[in-house]
Amino acid sequence: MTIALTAVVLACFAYLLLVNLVAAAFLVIGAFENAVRKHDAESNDFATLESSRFTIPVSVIVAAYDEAMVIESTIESLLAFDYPEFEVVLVNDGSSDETLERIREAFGLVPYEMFVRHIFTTQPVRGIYRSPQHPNLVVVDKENGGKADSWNAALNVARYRYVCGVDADTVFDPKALLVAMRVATNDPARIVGVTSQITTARDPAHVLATPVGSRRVDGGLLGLYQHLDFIRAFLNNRLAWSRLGFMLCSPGGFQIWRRDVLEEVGGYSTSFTCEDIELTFRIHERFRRAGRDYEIRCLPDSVGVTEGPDDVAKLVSQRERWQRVINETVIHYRRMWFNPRYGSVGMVGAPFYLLTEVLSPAIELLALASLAASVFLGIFDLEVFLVVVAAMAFVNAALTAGAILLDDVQSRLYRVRDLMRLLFWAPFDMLLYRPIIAWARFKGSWRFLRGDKAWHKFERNARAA
Amino acid sequence: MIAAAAIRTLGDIGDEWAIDLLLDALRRGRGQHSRIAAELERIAPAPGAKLLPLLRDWNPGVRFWGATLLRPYPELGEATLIELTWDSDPNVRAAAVETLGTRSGTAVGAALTARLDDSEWFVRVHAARAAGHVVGAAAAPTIIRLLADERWWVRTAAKDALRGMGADAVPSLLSILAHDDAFARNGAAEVLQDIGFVDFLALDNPRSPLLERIYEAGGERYRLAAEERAAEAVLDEDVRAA
Repeated sequence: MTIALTAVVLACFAYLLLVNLVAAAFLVIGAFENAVRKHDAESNDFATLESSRFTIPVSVIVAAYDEAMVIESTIESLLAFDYPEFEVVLVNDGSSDETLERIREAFGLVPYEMFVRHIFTTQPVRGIYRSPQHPNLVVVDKENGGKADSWNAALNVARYRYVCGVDADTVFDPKALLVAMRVATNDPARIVGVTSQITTARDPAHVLATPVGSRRVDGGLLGLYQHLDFIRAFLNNRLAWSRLGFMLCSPGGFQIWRRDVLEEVGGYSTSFTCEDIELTFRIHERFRRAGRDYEIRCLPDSVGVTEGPDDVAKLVSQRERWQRVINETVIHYRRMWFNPRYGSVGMVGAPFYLLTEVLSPAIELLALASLAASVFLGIFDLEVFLVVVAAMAFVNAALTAGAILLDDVQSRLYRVRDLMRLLFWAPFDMLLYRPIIAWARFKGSWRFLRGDKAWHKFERNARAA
Repeated sequence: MIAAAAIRTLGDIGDEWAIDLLLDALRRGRGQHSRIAAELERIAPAPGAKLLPLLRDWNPGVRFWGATLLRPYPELGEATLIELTWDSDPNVRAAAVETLGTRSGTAVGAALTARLDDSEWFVRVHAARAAGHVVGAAAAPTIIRLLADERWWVRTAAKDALRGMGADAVPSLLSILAHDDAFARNGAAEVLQDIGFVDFLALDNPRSPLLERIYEAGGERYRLAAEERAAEAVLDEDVRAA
């Protein structure tokens, strides 16, 4: 019993060590990529590109389900993009609230019929609307079918060569398209997908309205930890994945794809709980299997702010869904695990996801139980336990500090006071935030095993008047 | 990255020497062509006649950019651009057609109309838009055939071109409301809707047999949308009258 427990504790410790070593390596590679992208951005002439006819037109697609509270500011933010040619295709996914009525009123929508190519089969379209004031806005009203179904309906209507999928609860910087599309414009034959950093806040429109350099980290401690989570995901992980050729998650909040690639792979899948990560895996799988040259790139530039849950219950609901979709996707694409045919995706990316995302709830639970049992049985004493926890908190805080530094070097968005606040609270993440996320991930894994594929949408945060 | 910074700096300098270097980079394939082109378009004094040799370059990529960059200079290179509409490289043909689409004249119109039957679909896309702009309503009977093209993007471009002609396209559009191809029928109905012809009929003579024919070509949702717009327009008029 003692030997078995010791072995389990040591195995869990080895797992943690491995994960943190890989994370540290990703941070170093991410720092390099961050510097490269920063120089690249500085060498670009955005003022010229902003009015150049040599940029590639983009269709921005957005799905809205019961978003009456935020939809107006979302559309305004999308129509305000500084980009030479783009259209916004918004799909009202059979909302049960006043989403469509709000848009009709705010943008003076008029019903118009459009005869479009039905590349993807979707739930029936009830009507198509256009705005005389905004000729580049098209609103599609359809029966409820989920986000993937809505994005497919938007793809049927979209006219341009690149498609940018965004979330209805995300508010964007006017330069977002220009910043992200610069890489696609430079190499459209190779760049099939682009994403860029988005952060989280309780009230995105309010945060984005604050000038660069004076921004605050919005939303109390829960908001602060979600903010840290987002910047770590982008700057500690995705930048490195992008550099190493296995950018495996283009988040639904902001993902640009070459349209022909979306058509080739069959559009967004409605068979998964959520569509973003699965689509990214599918595109990698298709291109790697065919041995085609391609790249999906993640940029460090902060392009928008998405709404983060403002209470623990909503956060758990969101994160358990994320866990389910990761499990669904990684297991669905198990043929790529450790398969050299899929290059770095098969040999590093997919196994990394398996180890750190799919298996981690079980390993965390095992670690906690075995460590507690070991302390209880006197195999390890409490001091050892506390030292291990403190060491983990330190490593975690060091990685987080790295992400904060990279973010600040890249954007200089936040007040010094808020950066200090982030650094101060980072080490307590293990105690105050990780347990919530661990619980959400455990719940998500459990629901995955039970075959639950529901979205469990959380209520929008209340806004200041 | 260094090339990008150099291109930007040359654009900022913007003198004759900088233009020559940027054109040389374009010829030699140094740096991103789209970035070089963007800088060449913002430079003052404009490169103008310096672009003409690009049209005769052996490299189709350079001919393409030569044709594309000539767009702001309507007085330059017309004869060569017309020749390039027969170039062996379809990208060059498309660029020449696109640039000629901003010009006028019988020779230009004839060259563009000829490209409506190009073997490459994207040349037909540009030709439809350009011919619509240059030739106008006289090209409508030819462009309208493209509503039944095998490629979707050509059909869409044909709709755009016909839409751009406004009321002048109405006779041609009405002539294909009973076409065998469903898209040609409802494409024509869509353009009639977009140019306001349907709303005009719906308000002026809602029982008109012509309106009924258009509704048949457009389908039920088309009819409902038109009726809703008409009802709103009547309501607006009533409000204004009150």
